[in-house]
Amino acid sequence: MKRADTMNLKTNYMQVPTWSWLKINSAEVALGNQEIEEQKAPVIILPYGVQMGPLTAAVPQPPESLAPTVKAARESGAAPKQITIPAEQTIIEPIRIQIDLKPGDSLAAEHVHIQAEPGSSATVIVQLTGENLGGHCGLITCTAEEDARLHLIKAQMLGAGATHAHVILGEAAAGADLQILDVELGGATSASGCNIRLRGKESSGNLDCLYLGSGSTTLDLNYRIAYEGALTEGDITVRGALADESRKTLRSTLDFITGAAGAKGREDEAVLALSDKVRNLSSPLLLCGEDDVEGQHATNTGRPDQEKLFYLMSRGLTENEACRLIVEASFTPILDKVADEALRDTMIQRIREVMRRD
Amino acid sequence: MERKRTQAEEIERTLYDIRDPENTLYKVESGITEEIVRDISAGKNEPGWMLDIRLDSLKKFYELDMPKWGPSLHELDMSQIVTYVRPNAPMTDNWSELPEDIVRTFDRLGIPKAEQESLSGVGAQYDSEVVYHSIQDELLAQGVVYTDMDTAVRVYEDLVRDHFMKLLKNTEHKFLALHGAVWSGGSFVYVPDGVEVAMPLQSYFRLNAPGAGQFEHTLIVCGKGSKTHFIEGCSAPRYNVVNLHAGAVELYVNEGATLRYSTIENWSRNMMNLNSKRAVVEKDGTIEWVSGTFGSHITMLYPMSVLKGEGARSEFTGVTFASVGQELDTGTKVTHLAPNTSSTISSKSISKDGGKAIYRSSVRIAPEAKNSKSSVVCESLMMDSDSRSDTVPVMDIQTDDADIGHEAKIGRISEESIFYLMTRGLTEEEAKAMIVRGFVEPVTKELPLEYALEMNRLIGLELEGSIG
Amino acid sequence: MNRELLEVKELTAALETGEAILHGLDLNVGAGETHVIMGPNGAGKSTLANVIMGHPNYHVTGGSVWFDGADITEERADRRARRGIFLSFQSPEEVDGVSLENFLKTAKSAVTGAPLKAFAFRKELAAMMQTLEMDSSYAGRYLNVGFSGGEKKKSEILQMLALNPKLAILDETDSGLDVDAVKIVARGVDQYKNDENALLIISHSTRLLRDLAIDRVHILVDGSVRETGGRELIDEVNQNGFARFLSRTAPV
Repeated sequence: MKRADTMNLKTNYMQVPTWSWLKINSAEVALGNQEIEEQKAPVIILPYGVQMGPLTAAVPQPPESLAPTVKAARESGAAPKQITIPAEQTIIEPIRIQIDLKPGDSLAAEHVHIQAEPGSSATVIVQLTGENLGGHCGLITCTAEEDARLHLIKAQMLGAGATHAHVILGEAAAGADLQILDVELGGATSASGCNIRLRGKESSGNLDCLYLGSGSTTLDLNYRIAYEGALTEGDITVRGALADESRKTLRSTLDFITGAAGAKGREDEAVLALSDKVRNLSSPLLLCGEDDVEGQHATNTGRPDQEKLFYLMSRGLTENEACRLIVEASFTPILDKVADEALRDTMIQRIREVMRRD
Repeated sequence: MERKRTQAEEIERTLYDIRDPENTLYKVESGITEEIVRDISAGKNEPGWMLDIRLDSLKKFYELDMPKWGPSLHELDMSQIVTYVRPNAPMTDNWSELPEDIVRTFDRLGIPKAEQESLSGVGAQYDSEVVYHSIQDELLAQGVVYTDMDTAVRVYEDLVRDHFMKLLKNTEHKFLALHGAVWSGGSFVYVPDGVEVAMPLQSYFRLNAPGAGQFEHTLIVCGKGSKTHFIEGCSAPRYNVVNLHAGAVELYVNEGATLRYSTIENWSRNMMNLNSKRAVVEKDGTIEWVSGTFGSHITMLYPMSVLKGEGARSEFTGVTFASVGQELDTGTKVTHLAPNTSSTISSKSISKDGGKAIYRSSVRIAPEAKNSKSSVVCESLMMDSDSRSDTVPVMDIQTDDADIGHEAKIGRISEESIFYLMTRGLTEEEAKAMIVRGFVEPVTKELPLEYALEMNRLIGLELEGSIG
Repeated sequence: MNRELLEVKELTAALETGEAILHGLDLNVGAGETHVIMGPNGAGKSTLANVIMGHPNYHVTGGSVWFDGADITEERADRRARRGIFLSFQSPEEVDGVSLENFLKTAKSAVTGAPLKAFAFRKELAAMMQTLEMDSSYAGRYLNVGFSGGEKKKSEILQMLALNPKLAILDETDSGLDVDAVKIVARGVDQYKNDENALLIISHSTRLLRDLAIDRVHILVDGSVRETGGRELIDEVNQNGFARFLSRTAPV
């Protein structure tokens, strides 16, 4: 497939840069240019009670580390849209944003903003499928006002040749709760980022991620939770598996800002390495300017436990089947958070497809 | 009887902030030029190959940029730093032959006592030359060589030539290049195969002249199956002009050998401590780093272990205490290059009164390092909200057959723990002091008694019977 | 008449959040006496113990606490410890890096205000550890780190013996212990107790109390003392629970 003119996007910077020979200070994604064909807008399905219109609210600003992706998405996309969930409304049916890329397309970019008004509650599912020449550069911003509850799921299931750059920016006001789930199952080169600012007192936010690298996928993830208000809480949980010759870089940052007294945060990553050619880079950053906090992180990587494999095989499973089971088991706590059953099934199917390498 | 003070106080500086009148025979003009470098080499009667290394390093120094990460080094003006200072005393084997004020300084720092009581040999560095050296007869009989670098370059020329600046290369960063050009002084240790050095070898640095930089080079070569413990301790008095320390430590741990390298860095508050340390470990060898960083204005220090041979091991235990006006960027690097290698890292830091402690590390597992293991545990204690503590670890794993674990924690002393100790009669300050002492205990217990005591003094804790 | 060691007068206390736990509590413990406090969960028994000890998370909103003739209501915990009050905690803290022996030496020195002779103390400690059937290796282990529940309780009793306070408050010291461990704790308590000092035992169970000479039993419900009596109250509670004492309305 001939590529359109490309721009090299350098993004996902490390908040505290380190030795350059580690090659972890930033990531690069080659994205196509805008000019070839008309931009196709994402398909947005709104449940009853939810409004959509042009962007009017103040939008969360990106940290410097994610600014290049945000800029590219804003400049290349059509006018941004705003989805508003009215105050005190609990919307059960998820809001769906579907982006399906077609091979001939130029760069697909969009910015959608979700404003959850005080006391509201809703779920947003963003689904990315297909594959195109120019790649994809997307931005989702969300603001959860006082006591609002917002659950955002991004499912990236692009084709094996796709390039993808994406940022989610979230802000939580006092008492609000943000749950963000990033599932990365496809693509050739992906640079995803997510930044949650817990601004209001007693706000909370969790960032969960599930990724699966296969073929020669290069996955670059940049996650951050900033604890700004007092008594804020939030965890980053990442579960992944790397197969074939895939590569993954994860920077996860817990940033305790001075003044966030009583804040609590945990970061936890577990990676299953399934072949001896994978490349796994992790940098769990813990930044702290406030003494009255509890922050911790833990990272574990390795092969699936040999004892477990043997046990499953002694019950008749092939090594591959046993491996697949162990990987799925590792993913289950996060898959369970995908409220939409159909989507969860699609994900499990995809995982099984990738893992069936006999 | 008056009760002893027990506070989680500042590092006690008064004992160390003694200035001697400028005791310098010879001072190179400020700034670094080729003439200066030739001057230094000629003054030491060095062989041609060493001069070549110096000149090549000088070239690299001009070519390389300042580091693009870490603390800002804007306060460093190289043209102001007098790189080489030779104190007014020739080297001697007999303590009583040293000039009185130099002896007095070392007396106050407790060196001769230490030497007699528990340590095998001591080399004390005063400004840029090693002034005093002694080595016990026993060690001489075993064939252990412990001398200063200047002597080693001449007397053990081949050995030094094979190892000098081969582990730390002058192309790596600007301050290693500077070091290669103007290095002076330091220790050379050679332990033959199979020898166990029964007691620790220690060396003591001191920086006296205002604006002087210290560029000592330590080179240790451990023969197969040997066992050695080397202790390095540093101190410098306070001055207005920024002092620079860009030393280098190269450790060669051969097959089956064990080397423990302990350091307590207590440089004074105007010091820029940009040290480079690296160990290469062959088959079944072990390197143990024990590191306490308390002083200096800015430190960038990351002892590195290269696990080259199968079954090689590295253990790192470190404590960093950052207080007023300090930015201490410390950590460690490990590279696993062979199968069955293992590394453990245990790092603790304390930040107080606006101090900034940064833990920075890298653990790299090469594709050939099958069945390797690495475990990292970091804990940071924040004592107030004026200070900062940042943890920046990186793991780069290039094989599936590796077991890697990393944990870090940050927080303050638990109020419940303070209350518990207070209910047993300790004041709040005493309780905090005891908890902080307990916090750094993993490093204290790895040091010989003399240094453990010094370490606790450094934290200002004077609980009776607190060690052991 | 024994002199009063502990006098709690109309004590009201609340958590930092403002929630009131103790409502006008009165309690007097004289020298040489052993008192027991019993009550249903949430009655405020542990709160009482912690307030007497001076825990910063509780605020005294009314009344006072007197110890050996002095008003200690506003005093810090370490000051109270040095006066001779000791609390054996229900869940003792783990303090990493500090050995049990060195900790005790420091605490003893703090409480008596005099330095210790290391050798003599070590011998004393060894004897106490033997009484409590604690392996001598515990002296070198870090304070409570990795100790089982039973070992933690023994560590508390060991501290009580070493520090020899005027008033020892035991907060559920026997809970979670097996039969043998309770016997050992009883032995420790027995060794400690004399005509000069006092014991205040908070307990659910009777195993520890069975063989002790008890002067007074107080039933605590909803933050105040509902009834005071003798040993017979323990038997009554064991037979019928606390139902009888709950029937009254809680004070506002």
